[in-house]
Amino acid sequence: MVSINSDAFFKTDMDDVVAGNESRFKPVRNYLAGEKVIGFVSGKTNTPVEETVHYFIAQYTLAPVLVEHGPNRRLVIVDLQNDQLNIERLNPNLEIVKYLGSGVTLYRNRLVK
Amino acid sequence: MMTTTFLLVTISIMIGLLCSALLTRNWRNEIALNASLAIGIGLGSSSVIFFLGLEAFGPRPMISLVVELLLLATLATCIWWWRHLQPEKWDMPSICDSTTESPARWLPRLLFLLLIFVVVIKTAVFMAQVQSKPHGDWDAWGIWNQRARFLALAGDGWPRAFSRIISWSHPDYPLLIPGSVARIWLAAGELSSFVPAIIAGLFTIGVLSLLIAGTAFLSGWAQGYLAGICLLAANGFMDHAASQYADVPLSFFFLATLLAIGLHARLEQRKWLVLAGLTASLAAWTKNEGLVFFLLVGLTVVLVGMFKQGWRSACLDILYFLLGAGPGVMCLLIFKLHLAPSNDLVAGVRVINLEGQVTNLGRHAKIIKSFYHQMLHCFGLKSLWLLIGIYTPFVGIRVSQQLMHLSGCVMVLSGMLVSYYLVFLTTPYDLTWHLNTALDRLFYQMVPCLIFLIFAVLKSPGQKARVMPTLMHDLQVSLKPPALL
Repeated sequence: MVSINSDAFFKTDMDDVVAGNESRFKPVRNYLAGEKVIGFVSGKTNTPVEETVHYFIAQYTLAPVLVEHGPNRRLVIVDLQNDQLNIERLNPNLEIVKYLGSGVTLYRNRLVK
Repeated sequence: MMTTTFLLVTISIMIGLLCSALLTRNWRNEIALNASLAIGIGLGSSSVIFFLGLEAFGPRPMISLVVELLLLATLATCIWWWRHLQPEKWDMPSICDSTTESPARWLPRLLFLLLIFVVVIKTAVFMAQVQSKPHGDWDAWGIWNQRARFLALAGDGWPRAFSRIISWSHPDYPLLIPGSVARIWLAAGELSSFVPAIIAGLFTIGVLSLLIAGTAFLSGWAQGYLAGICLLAANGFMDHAASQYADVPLSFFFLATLLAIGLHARLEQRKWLVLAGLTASLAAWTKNEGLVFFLLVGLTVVLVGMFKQGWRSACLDILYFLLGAGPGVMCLLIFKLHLAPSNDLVAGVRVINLEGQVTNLGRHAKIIKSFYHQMLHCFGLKSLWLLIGIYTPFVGIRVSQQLMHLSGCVMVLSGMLVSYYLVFLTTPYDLTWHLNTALDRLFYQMVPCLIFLIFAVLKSPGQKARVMPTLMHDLQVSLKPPALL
């Protein structure tokens, strides 16, 4: 079993966009046992570049679980770093599993078993 | 973690050292050249073994470790056996003898001190870059290190790394870098950003030392040190190396291959073609551009062989080349046929659009302008070309067979430029975006090769009066009957 300790040798610089966002998405790992693919939805006030970068970093952080862009998976990460978008109102099939801090929330899609 | 990394890297480099010593059949005289080749060949070979083990048995690091140790023992036995069987063919004198070495003894020493000074400064730059971006730049975490995480963490589900869900991460890219990183992570049982940084650092040392040792092998140590200083003087080299992209490792294999085909042309010993095959196949195992490079080198070997000695010789040449390429090509074929999805550039090409793209003069103008801009302005290359432009008239060019010997290398590099041009011309993506995001890296893969070629044809400082001996030496060497392995 390989443990993940990517910051052990370098002082984590939160100005580094990867290190900063990796620490936001890291808690999601605790809820992914047995999952192979999860979804990812970004808040509407994220710019397209931010959305892409956050999505890519989420995939980097959560590998080997595949992260698919969109809400059509059993578990869905919602990245609301910069706004208070009511994701449940926009997508009524999503129910909250856990708010994980720093704008990252894990949802369950009721339609997907 | 550090102990495991040190141990596994040492095993890799030992494999590379024995492999290059066996291929060059030189142990004592060319330790610098062998040691430089060892870094890339060793890490590449370990990555090939790791992938084949992964494919056959799943992620079990002990299996690949045992195979590596067996390979190490086999190579050591082969060298011992061969040295006893044919001692006269071992440790032949270097071709960089008194005819190419600078008569001014103080000059190489001075240049060596200058090189050390630049290396110390650039090492600090590398360390600072790695410290500020421990995960590397965009492609490092978006492609290479992410893929390594899949290989190390997914257990038997490691083929998920090539899923179309993450097609943006180019799952068709080969696995030399991810394999090298995942191999150490798996064995250490810990995932640390220290490992990709070490791999990036090793390849950086490899490119620099290979450029110095390779140029010195042909043109003397003074020239080798100058070539090294020029590479480090190109602004972006260290930034690029610390970004943990695969372009510096790729440039290592490009340089090693061109050096090998240049030495084959000069010495007419087919052992260099085996080395060229090995390093070209490892280039193909590093990045898709390496696959184009591999095909171009193969074509060049055939064409040069036919031009010089007819088709029979060309057939033998290509056989030796393929002998060296065997393991890398086998690995690449398994990966491409069994695991990798189709390439986005190839799959995205629409025949219906091709005619419009190819006949659009504006596209041609834009690509040529970008190529020109890249050659002059990026990575401080302008100052590098200026430096070489000032230096050349002082020392002069060796108008000897050296130029002829390196014609194959020039063909390959020109072929690479043409193939990159065609890729941009037919790209399914927005041309401006594609040029802005890819061209600088593509050029940087070739910069060490360009510097090598330039310094290989320039005379060494203080060597001006010795043109005739060099020419005579070249002629003597080229008149020797061709030797097989």
